[in-house]
Amino acid sequence: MNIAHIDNISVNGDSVIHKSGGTAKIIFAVFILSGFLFSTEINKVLLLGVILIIASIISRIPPGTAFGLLIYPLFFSSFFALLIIKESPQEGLLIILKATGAAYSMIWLILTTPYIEIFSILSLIFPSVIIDILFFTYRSFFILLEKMENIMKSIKLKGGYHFLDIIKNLKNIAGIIGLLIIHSFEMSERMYKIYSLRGYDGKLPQGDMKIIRGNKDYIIILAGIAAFTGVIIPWSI
Amino acid sequence: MSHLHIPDGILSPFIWVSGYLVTFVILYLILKKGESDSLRQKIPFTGIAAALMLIAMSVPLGIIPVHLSLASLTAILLGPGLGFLAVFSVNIILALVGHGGITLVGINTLVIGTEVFISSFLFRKVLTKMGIMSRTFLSVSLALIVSVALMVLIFMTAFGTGGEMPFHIHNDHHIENQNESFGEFALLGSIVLFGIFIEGMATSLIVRYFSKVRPDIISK
Repeated sequence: MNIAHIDNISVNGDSVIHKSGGTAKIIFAVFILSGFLFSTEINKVLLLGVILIIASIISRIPPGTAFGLLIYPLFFSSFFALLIIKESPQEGLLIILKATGAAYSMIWLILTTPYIEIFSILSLIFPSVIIDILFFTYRSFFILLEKMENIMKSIKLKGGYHFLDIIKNLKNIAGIIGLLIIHSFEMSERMYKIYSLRGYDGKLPQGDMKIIRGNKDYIIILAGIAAFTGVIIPWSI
Repeated sequence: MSHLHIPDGILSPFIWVSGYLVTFVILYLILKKGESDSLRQKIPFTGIAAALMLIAMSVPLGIIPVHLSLASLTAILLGPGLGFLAVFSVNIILALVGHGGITLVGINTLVIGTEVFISSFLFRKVLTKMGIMSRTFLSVSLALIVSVALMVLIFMTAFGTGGEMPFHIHNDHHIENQNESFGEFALLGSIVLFGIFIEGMATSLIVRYFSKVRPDIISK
């Protein structure tokens, strides 16, 4: 889970999809996700997978990064699939495809849309407190990660982290986290004072958000609706 | 520790929709109860605690496939309400990168939220006369046992009530499978107990450290 790398791809990506509106991409991802959730046929699930692969190619998402993130749902869905694969290999395969495909739709979204944009759109649904927590989580994650990496590096250099010595690792990691918490607490106090000075009253301003940015947004939404409708309607030729 | 790594499409809509509904009701009650001034003041630290949870989850402890979650630590630092909000935020971010399905955010928040509520209650109200190490270790371990039990219950309900997965039990294989199942259960149980021990120890060490340096950080 490398959030910093994911963030870099979504913020600095220059494909036509990256330049499209976040709302359109969220709607597309939700339709594809729903398609995976409600499909009961392998062919239709595969079709949705192909649509996502095409969307990823257009978005110029690094295949290695997307695949790396997919290993996790692939592994856990395989575990569940193994439970029933003897009884019904098709059901087992369907479980793996549905779970991996559904995760892929979210991964595509996060690799093409910056977190900040997703949080801004979520602010239309969620209370401001939750959105503010998400913003502060995002903001402090990178600061703390850098600190954590620096301390981890110095601990490793001094022989404080060993692959096989779990107890030693535990003691040292606990020490790092304790230190980070103290830094974080002081950082949060500073952050609150600075934000209060700037007029923070319990709601971070999101700015004027354009729901639809242009024609390409309509195309993305229509593609999502078409894909969802296509897999939900029982076709008989 | 007690995190459901189930991807989307495994649990039935009845279960994950119910999970979301209960989570939203709890969120509503927390936000309604929270005093606006004190809540607003703690928002930055809640976000930072959630970021720490994410960082802790990305550091493996070595050869074993266990990582810390720090949910109980968040509860000790922030109290149950804000701890629950932090857990919800963490689950949304994790789901966006494929760690647990987006449909599972509600259920996951409830499972880890249970850990948050119980550990906070035990730490702040019940075990107050104990030393800081044993108080933290017991609070975290007991909370984890309950949340793991809840997780197992969700599994059983999901598959027992015919979730997305069809389950068939054949009686002719029942006896020979019994020994096999016991072995698997014992292995899984020992991994879970080891995980609980690790999380309990780590949280205790962290709390002991900053209770010496900055005892004011611990939520009253």
